[in-house]
Amino acid sequence: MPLEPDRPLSGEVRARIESIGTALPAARLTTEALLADCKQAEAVDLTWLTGVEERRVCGEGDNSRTLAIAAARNCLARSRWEAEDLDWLIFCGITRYVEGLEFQFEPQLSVEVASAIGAHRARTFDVGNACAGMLTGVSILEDGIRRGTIRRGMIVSGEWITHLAHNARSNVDGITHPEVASLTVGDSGAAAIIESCAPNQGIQSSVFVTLAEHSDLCIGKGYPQGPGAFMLTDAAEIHRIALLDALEVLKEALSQAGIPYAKLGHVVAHQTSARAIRAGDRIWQKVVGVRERKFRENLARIGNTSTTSHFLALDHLLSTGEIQRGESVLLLAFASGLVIGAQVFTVDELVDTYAHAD
Amino acid sequence: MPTRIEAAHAVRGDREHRSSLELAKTAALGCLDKAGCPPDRVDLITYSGLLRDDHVQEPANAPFLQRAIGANPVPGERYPSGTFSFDVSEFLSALEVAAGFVESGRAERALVVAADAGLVGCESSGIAPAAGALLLTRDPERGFRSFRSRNYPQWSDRLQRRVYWNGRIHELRTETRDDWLERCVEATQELATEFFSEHGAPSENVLVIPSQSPRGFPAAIEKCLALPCVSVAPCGEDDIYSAGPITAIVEAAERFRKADQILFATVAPGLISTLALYDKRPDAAF
Repeated sequence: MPLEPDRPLSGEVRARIESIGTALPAARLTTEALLADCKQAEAVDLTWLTGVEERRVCGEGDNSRTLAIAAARNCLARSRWEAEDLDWLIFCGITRYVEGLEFQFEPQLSVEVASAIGAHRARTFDVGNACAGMLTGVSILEDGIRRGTIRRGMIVSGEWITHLAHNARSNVDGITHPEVASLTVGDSGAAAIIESCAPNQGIQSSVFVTLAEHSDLCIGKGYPQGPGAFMLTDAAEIHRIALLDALEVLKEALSQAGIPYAKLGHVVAHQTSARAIRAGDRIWQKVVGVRERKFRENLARIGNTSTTSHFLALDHLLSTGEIQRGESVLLLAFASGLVIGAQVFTVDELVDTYAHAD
Repeated sequence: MPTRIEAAHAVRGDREHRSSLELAKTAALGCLDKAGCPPDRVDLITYSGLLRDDHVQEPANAPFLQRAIGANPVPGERYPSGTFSFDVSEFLSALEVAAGFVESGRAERALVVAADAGLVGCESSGIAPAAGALLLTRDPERGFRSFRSRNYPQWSDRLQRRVYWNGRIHELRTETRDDWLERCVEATQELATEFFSEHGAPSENVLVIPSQSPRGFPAAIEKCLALPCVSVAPCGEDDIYSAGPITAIVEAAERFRKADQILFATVAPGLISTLALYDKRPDAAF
């Protein structure tokens, strides 16, 4: 059971995901509609290539900050904690686009999210680690909880990224174009509360490494011809390196957790492309000799949502009952940098925050 | 918190040396050289900086720095152990996160780097190109003892920085209210009063390492806290921003050596006031 709020912490505690919140803008944009304006639409069968059929897009009044705040509120609504109970609040998003597609440097968005939800006591800061931002945030909160510095905290992100797709579609002329990955993205928000728990529960391992030699393989920066940003990605090379070098990270995470792959319930990888996820699954099956599909997909309706993708996928799998109490889940990060990370946790009463649990 | 500073290095840029990555690389390698620590022994890099080269949003700046200094950029003998690197928005937050990883044993050595680029094609952003680096390691007795931070959202509109498309380029816009310095001092004074009532009065031999921006902040808090405080010379019209506290440590090395307690005091838009207490031996460099 989670520790009571006033119970003293010790070095033996662990951290668990207490609740998850999500936010999606109402407007939808199908891949077909997106590519209608594409320079060489006939050369890019994006749905076949990535599995993305549509994505949510920010409408009037939506931006990185509003999505983050909505997700944080949704997370609190599912939580037993109030905003005032949060010790730390970390904004983990890449984009900090606010009104008018202006990129806000300061104040940090963590300050504004904390203020909006009433987390007046929380220490706030922003973390940047590309699409591994939220899992990096989990790792930071987990470290603080295990040391007894904090009892609980929230990670939150809001991503207004579909301007990447709008800026890319006039440039893309085939499936090898470096802006193809930009066509897969969708806007979203996600949040999670991480709290202390007993030693035999919660997050059992957390392994991260940055292979910085490959930091040029995916770069996003201000679009030189207009508002927003653009992103250049060598998707094939990232895919190759991720498949090659992630195996040791996965093995180490499972070893530290003491869970053999055969007993692992689910792998939730960064949701970039259905084909890439399936390829990773096949390779891992071969390596460990377990013929069971464990990699899960959550791309078709929301696309690649960058930092929020793991928590949107978890939320979907928990809400549909595909993830059950007692099952082990491995969260797998691949992010620009190149960051490879793996976290293993066992699903507990987190399922109770979803309606089907009874 | 049993994490101490092992080495520090800081550099100032100029019109010809304005790349945040190049300045951060110089600061980081200088720091590692002083510590006699090869780059591949660094387990964690945290990077904080407001102004980046070319406004890059992704990846984080820390991996670029990790590659530039050669800290396990490819899988080595220890793989999947290696170097983990990411950005944290503000210096004392980055320091607290890194110190925590060292304390918990997740990192043996952590490099905390802060840097800002000098903007090209801009008369003055108010922020000077500069960088600083600290190497952290474990110490069973002395080091960082406590961090405390508080937000003052009622003053969140006092300083705002955004990049917007002006029809030709992406341009940085800074809006500062006249009372920004005053509010920074007020917040720090309030937090310090609480902090000292909880942790006891500061040592007689304490030295304050503050943010070097807004201009006049070090002098103002020296006066209001009645504690000696390090103020470094600005770079013309521009202040040393993200790297301000590390620059203060390096440029006031002799005063730092003589002190037996250090109070870090930073402010950031939001308004965020943060304090950290660091215990040291009076004759030790760190």
